Amino acid sequence: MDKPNTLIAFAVTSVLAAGTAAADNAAGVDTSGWECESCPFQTDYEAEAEIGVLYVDEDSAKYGEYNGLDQKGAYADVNANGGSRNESGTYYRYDMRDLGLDTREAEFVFGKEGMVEATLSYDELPHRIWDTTVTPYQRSGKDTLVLPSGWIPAGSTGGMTALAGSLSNVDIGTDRTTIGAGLDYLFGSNLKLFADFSRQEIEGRKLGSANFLFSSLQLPEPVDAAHDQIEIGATYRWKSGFTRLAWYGSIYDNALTGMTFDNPYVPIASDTVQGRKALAPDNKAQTYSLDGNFLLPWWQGVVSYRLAEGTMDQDESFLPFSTSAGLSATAMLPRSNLAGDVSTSHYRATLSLKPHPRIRARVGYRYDERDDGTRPFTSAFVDDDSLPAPAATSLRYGYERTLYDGFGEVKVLDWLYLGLGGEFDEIDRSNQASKQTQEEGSYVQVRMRPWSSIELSGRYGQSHIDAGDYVVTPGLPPENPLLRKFNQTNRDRDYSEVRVGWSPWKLSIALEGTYAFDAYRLSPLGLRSGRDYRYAGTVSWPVSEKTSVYLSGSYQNIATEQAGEEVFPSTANLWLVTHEDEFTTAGGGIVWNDVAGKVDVTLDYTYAKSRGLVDTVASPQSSAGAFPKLETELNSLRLSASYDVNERLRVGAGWTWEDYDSSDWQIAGVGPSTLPNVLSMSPDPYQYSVNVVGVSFSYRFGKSSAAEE
Amino acid sequence: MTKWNWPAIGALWLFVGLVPAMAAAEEETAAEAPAYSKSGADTCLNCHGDNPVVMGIFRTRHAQPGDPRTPFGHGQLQCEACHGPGGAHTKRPKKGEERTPVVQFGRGKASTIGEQNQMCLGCHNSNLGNWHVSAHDDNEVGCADCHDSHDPRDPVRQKATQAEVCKTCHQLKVADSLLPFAHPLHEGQMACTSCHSPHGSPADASLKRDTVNETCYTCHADKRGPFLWEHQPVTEDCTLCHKPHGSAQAGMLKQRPPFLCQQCHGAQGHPSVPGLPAGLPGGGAPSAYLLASGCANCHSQVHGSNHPSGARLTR
Repeated sequence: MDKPNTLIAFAVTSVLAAGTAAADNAAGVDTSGWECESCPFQTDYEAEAEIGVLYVDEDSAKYGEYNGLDQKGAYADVNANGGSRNESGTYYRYDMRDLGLDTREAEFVFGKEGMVEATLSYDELPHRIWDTTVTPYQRSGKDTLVLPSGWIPAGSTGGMTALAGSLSNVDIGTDRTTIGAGLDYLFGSNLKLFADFSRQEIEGRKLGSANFLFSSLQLPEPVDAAHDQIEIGATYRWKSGFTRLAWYGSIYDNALTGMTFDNPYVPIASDTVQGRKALAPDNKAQTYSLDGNFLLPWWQGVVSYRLAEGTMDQDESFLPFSTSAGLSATAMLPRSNLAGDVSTSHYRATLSLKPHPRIRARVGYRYDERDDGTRPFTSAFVDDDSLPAPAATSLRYGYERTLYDGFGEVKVLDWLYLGLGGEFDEIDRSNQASKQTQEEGSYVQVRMRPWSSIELSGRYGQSHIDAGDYVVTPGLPPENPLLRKFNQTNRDRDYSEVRVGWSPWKLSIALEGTYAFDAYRLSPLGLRSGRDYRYAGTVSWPVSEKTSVYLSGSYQNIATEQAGEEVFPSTANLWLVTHEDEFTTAGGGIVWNDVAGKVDVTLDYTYAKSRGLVDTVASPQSSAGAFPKLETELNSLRLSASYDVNERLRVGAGWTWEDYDSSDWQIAGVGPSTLPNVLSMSPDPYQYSVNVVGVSFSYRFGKSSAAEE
Repeated sequence: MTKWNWPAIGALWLFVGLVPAMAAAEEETAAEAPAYSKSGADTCLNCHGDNPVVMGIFRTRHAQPGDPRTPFGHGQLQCEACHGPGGAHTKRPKKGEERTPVVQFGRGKASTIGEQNQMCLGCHNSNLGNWHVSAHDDNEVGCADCHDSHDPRDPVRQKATQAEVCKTCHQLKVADSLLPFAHPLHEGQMACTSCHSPHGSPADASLKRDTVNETCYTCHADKRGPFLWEHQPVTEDCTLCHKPHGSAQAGMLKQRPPFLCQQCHGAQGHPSVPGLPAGLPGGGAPSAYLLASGCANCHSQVHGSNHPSGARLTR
């Protein structure tokens, strides 16, 4: 039986097993006299529109990273929402935000109650990354970068005498636009057909890189792609469960197959004055799925299930081996495209039971498979548009994952719950050093509410991964046999977490803490250990009905230790790196509503600081030691106020001040020619201090809320 | 690590937990089926009709008289569809007695979380097919802990405000959105539900799609491939290298190159050369393995390459 037929057979079985369809008003109450005469259902047009202006006083890609306010200047602040419904149940709603900004979005919903609903949406998301980057490259086309006509190639960046005079600023970032459409159609109360479509269009530049053997360059890599996704299906609701059958399709369409760039270095092969790299290929994926659950007639049992079968395909035509005709001729493509063909399977079934009012339990099974059926590709190739290279074979990677898990909890006392859970997780991989890893994990969980104002919960668990034999794939240069990939080696993990909710007097206090420690006991080299502890807390205080205050903070500390060996086997060349990353946040705010019945005020402050310490031990120790600290610090203050001129008109004003400072040794002081063999785009560590002020007017249309009341 | 004796812990749990629980079984008695009100919502609104919070329900999807699936649909139980039979609640209490409560929603209310959730699941089972196996159900989270069903703009259903609701419990995860490199959660341009299904899912961490990677591909389909030359961890799990809630390293990486790469790659030659402070600018020999993009200065195609000469993930 092939896989789609399996799904259909299971769907039919589900239908037969689930029984008859549900009836309206399951309680069987005669509500014929329940007129709902005092129910103020919407019957008119109601809306609110806001128009205003924002002013930003400094250019900063980082501040504008996701809000689009990256340029100094004025921006229109336009928002609107509204809708209407008539007594026949036909309605529409719309919600439009940030229409004057690069984050503009809009959603329109219309339909008829109990029958159909359609949705249209539009959403823009900017991603500003760098505005301090420079490049000597000029664009002769979207996917072709050329050097200026007077460029003088050299063996290293220091010899590129035309470099300084050729640099120009280029911003790095993308814009993502998403349009969507959805439709829900109801046949009666129990059958729903649904369809959702979305199209993402992504354009811009990211900071890419490329190389000619041991000389490399950073470059503005073009992005111009679209991603269409569609999901259609049907859901049927039974008296004792539901069944959903769906199909999901995804098509990624990249307008750019590859990009070429002039070689700024003296070519190794005489005719490789250009290099070419491939960009993400067009690809497709689809998934058929069957979901549902059965509500069992005993022990409040629920069986949930999901069966999903999918494929991922890719057949983009290959680029030539090299820009060099001579080098390309040294090898022959075995085929014109990959004909990539991956199938995926996901099966999940769980049973949850409450055999007693004080006992609940669940057990589950899951199976995931990624089966790469692509024919292997073996060919000689050209190394970085520079030299012929011997044949290599593209390994195909797949895995099968089988997971069993369970959890049980007992209400020991009215205020005390004890839980116990565990799982067994087995992953079989193809073409990897460890063919199989098995993870066994268990945890205990306690929840208690000793007094009505306090809730505590805690969990402690352990897990152990057994990776079996670890066989290093032969290759040149040889991989160090003492180094084990951290996802394929033995690991012991301890973890715990605690949560407290406490409401003394009018305060509300929430505390959270977690701890985890990983030991990679069979890994003399590579990642050897990791430790992570975090805690956070929030205190909220509703001072009065109109005023509330909050304070919050968090701290996390993550440390890892890894080792390597420059020449092996030789412990004299052992090196050790420890990392410790700290992250602290703090914040506070006050909300003051209805001041004099007219004014709302909000003040909010956020602080975030990260610090990274990298320490090294190596031989000779004079070259090792600690790196400079990696630091970022954010201070953000937001003040907003609004005044109700009357019940329809409101005036708002706001001010945001945000200051950001960072230091990063990986990019600080790295100019275009600092590294002899990397032509850098020289981004600077982020720094800004931005003020944004704004004023707006909003107006309510339609029936006023006062009239309703 | 001291490895615990989990079978013994299981036995102890059964003894400590099940014995008192079974002993308490006799305390549990079936309640008598209560009566509904005389006129439905009209009865309720006699007292609650001047409360704007209560009246917000009439601008929500729960109040669609034309949809028989909703509480205010034709023939349905109106307020009592969610709050349960209100017959006793509408009766004047005797002197010195409390009014009989209906089902109330929210933490610390007279109704247990189980009772509250049962009211919601009675209608929403088909939307919440995996609720019974979710981490939220394991921890007895109430629907009303997150949802305000009377609010026409329920904050947890708004992209811009959802994270603040999730932060009530997941403070650490939401704090991560303030890290230097993070998805735009803090800016309100993305919601927790862009990736997670808080009502449960078959996947790890209640993800919306079947695996981590399939969830990431909904926005990052350029990483999906299959590529001619693949990088094994990329095909297995994006979170082997990335921290999706935020990171101090560019690209939301767990660690910056070369250190991240050297956790798996240590072949003789340049992959095993340590990144040391001597390789910084001003140190005499600034290192291309350490600075700018580190390993990715050359191996820029870490997500896979479709170039026939991309065997080393450089093309």
